[in-house]
Amino acid sequence: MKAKHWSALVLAAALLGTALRATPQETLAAGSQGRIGLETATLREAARMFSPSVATLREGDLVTILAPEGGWYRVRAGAVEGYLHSSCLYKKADYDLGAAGAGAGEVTDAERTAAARGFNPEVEAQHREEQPQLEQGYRLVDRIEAISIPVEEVARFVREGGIEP
Amino acid sequence: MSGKRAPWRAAAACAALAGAMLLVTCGSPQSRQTTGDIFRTGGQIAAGATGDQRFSQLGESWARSIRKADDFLPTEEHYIGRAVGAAALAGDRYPLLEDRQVIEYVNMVGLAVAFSSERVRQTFKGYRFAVLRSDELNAFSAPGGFIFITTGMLKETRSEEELAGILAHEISHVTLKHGLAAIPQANMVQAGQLMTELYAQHGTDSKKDKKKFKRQLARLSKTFGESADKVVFTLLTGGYGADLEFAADELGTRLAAAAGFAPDGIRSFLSHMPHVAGAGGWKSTHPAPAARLARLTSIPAAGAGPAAAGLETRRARHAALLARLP
Repeated sequence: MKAKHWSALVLAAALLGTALRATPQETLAAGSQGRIGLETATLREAARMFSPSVATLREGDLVTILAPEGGWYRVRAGAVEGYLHSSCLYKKADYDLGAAGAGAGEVTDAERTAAARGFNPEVEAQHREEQPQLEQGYRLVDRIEAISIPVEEVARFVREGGIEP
Repeated sequence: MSGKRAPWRAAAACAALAGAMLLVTCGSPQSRQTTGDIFRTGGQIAAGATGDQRFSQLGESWARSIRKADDFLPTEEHYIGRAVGAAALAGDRYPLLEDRQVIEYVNMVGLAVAFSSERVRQTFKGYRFAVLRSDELNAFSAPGGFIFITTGMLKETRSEEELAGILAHEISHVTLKHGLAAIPQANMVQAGQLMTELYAQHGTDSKKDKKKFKRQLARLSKTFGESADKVVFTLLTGGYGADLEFAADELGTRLAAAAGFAPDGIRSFLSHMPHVAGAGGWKSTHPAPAARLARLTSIPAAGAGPAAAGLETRRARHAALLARLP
């Protein structure tokens, strides 16, 4: 991508970024649309964390709200329906610019989201370069971030311990 | 994305986006309250403008406003949390414990809490629980869901329920964004201003603009580091203060109970704390256990607690944890 394009895209993304900061926990009404705000979000069969997965959605993915249910939303994502925890979702109208943004044909959702971030990998890289004494700490954080426990294992742990909610 | 399209299209799209945002923002009074005066002029950006010209035009029409913890994106919270973790773990004070069984067990208990209540705020990459090789009686959490507990703290737990209570307390700090709130507002505002300037310079062609971009990136990085350092100081030295600790105790008690653990896990641990030798960690950054217990007595013991059928399993796996600690 040419630099000039990037600058315009980043400016556009900056506008989007501002919208992202608006009321992420605002209740989304049935019929409205929301976007995923986390790296990934699991769409589940029922409104609980240990419910089986229907699909895995990614940051920026679009869903239609069917109904708010407690701290969850019943949603439709493409051809599938399921439940998403409320903290995964942002109101679509606060997240992107709809047809105006799509009109450019040059800005993907992923690029918008990446460019809108203020504290981001680019800033972290700069921080690490300026503060080499933190490198050991960052390597340990990378190892912590690599810890991965499947939700099915947690469900088994809970079941075996008789601590099911 | 095609790089062959005319540059004016991208610039025009930007202006169109700005216009659309004006409509969106005007349609949402609550948004205006949380983001400030974003569009005062409609955000017209001239094609071919230099970085300084862009900033001048943008400065009239748009500014990133960060004034409170809620104004950070989940992904930004994640990177702040990484910086906080890196600063806390740099040096020799807190080496990581490498025992896979211990790490898995602590993560199982923590995730059992994090997955089991709709009141737990999900973070950008989820919750991770790290065990630190230290005799200090300490547990703390960084924004984004990085939670740390020392081997010294683990050794003093007398049951899985007590461990769940401690981890639920830390999950509550993350859910309530106490770490982000420890960043002084001046740093937040400065970060927002620098982000605005940085976006205006990003990708411009001239040497002057590129140099300015690098300088602004360095300034934003400095603010980023200072913000993380403030959080680390709060976590390890200054403490959040009594009100936020009481809030984490209260929500943590409810979360542990909602997950199916006995609701008195944290209460049981706090009763035991005065008998633990040593200073520092929770003893210096948190209110006295008696004060915390007094506040917790008003919280109803919701939840039936774990089933008796799993009691032996819970005891056995907690005993296995204690046996493996160095």
